[in-house]
Amino acid sequence: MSKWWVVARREWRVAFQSPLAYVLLGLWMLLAGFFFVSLILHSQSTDLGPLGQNLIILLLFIAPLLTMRLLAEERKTGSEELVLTAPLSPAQWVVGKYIGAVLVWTVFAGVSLLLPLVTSRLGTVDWGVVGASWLGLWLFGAATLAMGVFASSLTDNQVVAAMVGFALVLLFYATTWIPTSGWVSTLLAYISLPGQLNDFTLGVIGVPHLLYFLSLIGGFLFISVRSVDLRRWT
Amino acid sequence: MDAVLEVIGVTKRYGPSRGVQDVTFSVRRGEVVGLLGPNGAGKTTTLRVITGYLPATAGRVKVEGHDLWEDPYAVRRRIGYLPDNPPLYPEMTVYEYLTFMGELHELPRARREVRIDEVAERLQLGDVLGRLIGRLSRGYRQRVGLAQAVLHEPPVLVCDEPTVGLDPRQIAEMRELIRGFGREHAVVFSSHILPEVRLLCSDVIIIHKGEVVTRGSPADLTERLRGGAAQWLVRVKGPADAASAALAAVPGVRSVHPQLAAQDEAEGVCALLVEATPGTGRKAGEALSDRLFAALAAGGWPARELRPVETSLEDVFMELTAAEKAGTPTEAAGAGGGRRGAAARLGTRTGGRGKA
Repeated sequence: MSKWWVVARREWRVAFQSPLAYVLLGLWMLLAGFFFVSLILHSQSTDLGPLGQNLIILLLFIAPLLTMRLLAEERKTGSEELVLTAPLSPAQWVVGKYIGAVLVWTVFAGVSLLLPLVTSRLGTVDWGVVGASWLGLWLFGAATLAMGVFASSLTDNQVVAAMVGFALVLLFYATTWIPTSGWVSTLLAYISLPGQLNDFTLGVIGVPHLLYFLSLIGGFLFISVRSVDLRRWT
Repeated sequence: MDAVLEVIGVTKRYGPSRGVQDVTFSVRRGEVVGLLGPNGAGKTTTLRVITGYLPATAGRVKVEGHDLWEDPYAVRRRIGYLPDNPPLYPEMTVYEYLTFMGELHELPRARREVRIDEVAERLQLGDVLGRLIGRLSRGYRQRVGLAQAVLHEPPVLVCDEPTVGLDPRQIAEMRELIRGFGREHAVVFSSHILPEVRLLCSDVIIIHKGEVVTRGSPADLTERLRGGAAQWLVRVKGPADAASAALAAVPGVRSVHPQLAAQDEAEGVCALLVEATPGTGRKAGEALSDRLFAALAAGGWPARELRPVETSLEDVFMELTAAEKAGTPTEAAGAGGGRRGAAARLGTRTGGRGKA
């Protein structure tokens, strides 16, 4: 069995033994339900686009909370000492932690599929669009979790990790808010998280967008590994 | 047999003053080596370098010939580590935790289950395997820490202050366990408790301010501190002057010092400290003590007590760690500086010993 999977499985099990995951899942369902009532039921519309956008906003807040303890807590309690002196590389450690968080996030994202399911009872739903949008949402979550893991690798304080994580996610969310022109504008639009989602919400799964998310995840995990590694040298 | 663990010139610096400097030692299978030093001396740092948690600034660590730097995983597989106040996961059960650590140490499922049973039995954890670690008492947690350290049957076992924070019975149990593991593994453990080190270790490394001050068996170290000169405390019923003279005339005796603090002076009992000529070995020492007894008998003075004075490890430790005020620690480890201190201390302590 791969060691990153050993770490991920532990993370998954522990997540649902602490109240945090349940509280967050409860809030997620509550607010998603609230958006659903106001945007779908109340306006008598089966357009799920606005709902997805609101879930994304919600995710900006929730993702850093899901990842804040991953590495920071281990560092604080010293429990990483036993893991990092086992035959396990920092990469296996960080990736395992990340995959564990992604599994938890997948439960969140999975629960949100109830909303289009309910909508489909009330009207017509384009499942192609829903599927692509859901994939976009999931990838968006996975990318923000990678940023959160990086934030958690920087400190032993979970609150600081959550705040840094939130700042990172928000930065990537808001790059286009600066009025610019020319190539800077193009660049900022390209690295902007919501900009990458537009095609998904139209039902298009574009390879460049997949690559964008994968490289964002890979990049943040890479610097997280470096950060864990570097800490031992100082 | 060859050394299982070799630590060669390990230096670890962080910041200007902290860290350890040029630490070298080796441990063979069946040996228990104690790192002894005051808090902050660099014991934990040394152990962390050995386990690969902290990279050394300079020097090498080898386990069964594998170099930590060149093949870190081969070394980590061969080391079991019990950190100070073992940081376990409170939200896992003991069984889950041991399974997790076993998986990280690449134990195949069947082997892992056998080992968990074996270790649980040996460490008496059978009753708590299903309990959450966070709910366990300190003593149990320490044993869980030890269980994960020996689970993968490493040739080297590294324990950082394994008895700190335990109650006296748990301390005794933990020591017994470490002594037991010391027969099969090469064990390094750190402590600032002297009697513990004396009890468990075949070898002591005294570390102070990040440097190895001296190394040897507990007996060696006390011997070296006395400068090799054996001493006997004699309590005898009779005139101090005549008895002293008689003992001083025994071949092999260098000097006899009357001691002040005989408890029963009123009964005409006097206490004398007899010092043998330097270089008197253990065998010659025993013969000498026979001659001392014969000399007293010949004088018609009943001996109340005749016993070799052992310099305690405390004396060595105090001497070595206090020596920096006078000179460098290594100088103090030599015969001259150490001897003076021991003799002075013996003088003040003889009374107390007579009581025992």
